[in-house]
Amino acid sequence: MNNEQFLILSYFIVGALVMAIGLAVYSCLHRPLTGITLTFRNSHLGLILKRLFPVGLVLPALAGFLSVNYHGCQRNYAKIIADRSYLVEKNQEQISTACFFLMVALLVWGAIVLISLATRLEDPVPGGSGRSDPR
Amino acid sequence: MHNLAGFVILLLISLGMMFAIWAAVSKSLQGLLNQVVKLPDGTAFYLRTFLIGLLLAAAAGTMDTAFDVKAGDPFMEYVWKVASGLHSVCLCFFGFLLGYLVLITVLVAVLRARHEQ
Repeated sequence: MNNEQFLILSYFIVGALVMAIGLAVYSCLHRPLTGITLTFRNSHLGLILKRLFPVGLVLPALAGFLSVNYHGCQRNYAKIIADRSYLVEKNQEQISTACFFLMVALLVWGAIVLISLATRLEDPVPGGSGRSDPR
Repeated sequence: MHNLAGFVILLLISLGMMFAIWAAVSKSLQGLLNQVVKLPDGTAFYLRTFLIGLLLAAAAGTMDTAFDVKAGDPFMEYVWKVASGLHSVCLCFFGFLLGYLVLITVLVAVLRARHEQ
């Protein structure tokens, strides 16, 4: 496999991986979030949060991935594909930035859920759909 | 091959740090959330957010380090590379813990005030 083929293949594989990480985080958290939204005073707010939750996790991951620029230090396309280690370094940077953006998105979602919790019903149905132990 | 070994060592140290933080804090955090949120799903959401956030911080810090040490380079070059990676990991952990701590403090303040009303 030459470097140009490696660049094309690795770019799309890392893009798919980053989206998979976002969806994996969503699948870990959507059940407790659904349980929380059931106790909201306003059911429309719960529905909106539930619908926007996957978008609000996958988009930041994708934004982190897309924010990495291959043309740094005045490199043109020929210089970019000449160095395999540079391509690997950029793939690592894409995953790292996506994880960082996702981490920030998680904190923002935590704040949104916190604000929403202040509007929930006083005596919610106990239990819900999630467990208190995350393991 | 040496670069891969360095990367794996950095990854293992990062995961070790992550589990150490999780083991030190998770029980107290669960107790606090049970007291304040009074909703099992709420406790699960914030505990999972904490665990996933730590994991993402470890991954972000580890992947940020490019291992490009040449085969004949001295041993200390690898040590410095791992140290540089750990620096990124520590910064990511610090940033996440700071953000999470602020979030939990606000959560406790808001919900406790609400329960007392």
